[in-house]
Amino acid sequence: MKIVLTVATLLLSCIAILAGCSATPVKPGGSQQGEFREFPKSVDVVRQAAVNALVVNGFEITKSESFYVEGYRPRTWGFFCTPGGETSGIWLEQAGPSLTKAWISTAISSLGMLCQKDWSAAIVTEMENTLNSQK
Amino acid sequence: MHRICYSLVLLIALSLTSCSSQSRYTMLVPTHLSKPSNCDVEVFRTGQPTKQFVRISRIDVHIERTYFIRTNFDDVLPKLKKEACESGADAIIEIQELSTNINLDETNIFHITAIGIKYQQ
Repeated sequence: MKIVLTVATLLLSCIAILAGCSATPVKPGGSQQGEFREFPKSVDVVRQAAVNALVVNGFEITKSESFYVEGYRPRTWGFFCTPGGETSGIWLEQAGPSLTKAWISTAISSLGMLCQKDWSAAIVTEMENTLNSQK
Repeated sequence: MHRICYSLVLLIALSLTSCSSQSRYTMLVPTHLSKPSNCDVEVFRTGQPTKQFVRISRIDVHIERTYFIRTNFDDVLPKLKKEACESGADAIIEIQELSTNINLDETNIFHITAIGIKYQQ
């Protein structure tokens, strides 16, 4: 029974570590890959679209600041993969009364990186869908 | 005996982490009155009610499942209704479903976006 408890504790600890690991996204530019878009909308409108885009792609919102939004995809466990663990950041800059620049990048954590993906393009697509439908 | 125990512990641990779900609502109006989370809310999968209404909330429900388990609308309906009630909505309209499979189709991603509405008296 003692062995079972030890194994269970170790297993749950490993899961907790896996679930807790995350990487920090870096603003695209230079050698740092990511997406860049300009939206003819105010920064408030683009920020809300950014939050919605993260949520639609399965991210939990971890930071929502005036000019920065960040989300983390919770991990799940599978036969072949442990999807999740990515962190995406969206940087915003008000370039005019109704013009906002947005940079999007996704950081992949070291554990289970083969099953993780770069969600930046999917996030941009969802932001564009939301903002285009608001015309 | 030990092998059975190990297998059981492993299965329980894996089943605990084979699904992730999240749900939320965002208000589209400045103020709202929440209802009990088990309130009676109408669901319009297609069409709209004939009564006059105001769009008051955006509702998102997201479920990811591994082990080739799929999610359908009925699985997310309780969460959808709960979020609608908490946002103070009388009904749900404009339901959009998004279902995709990743990682050799092992993982199913299911997302619902909907609009919560309040009837006008």
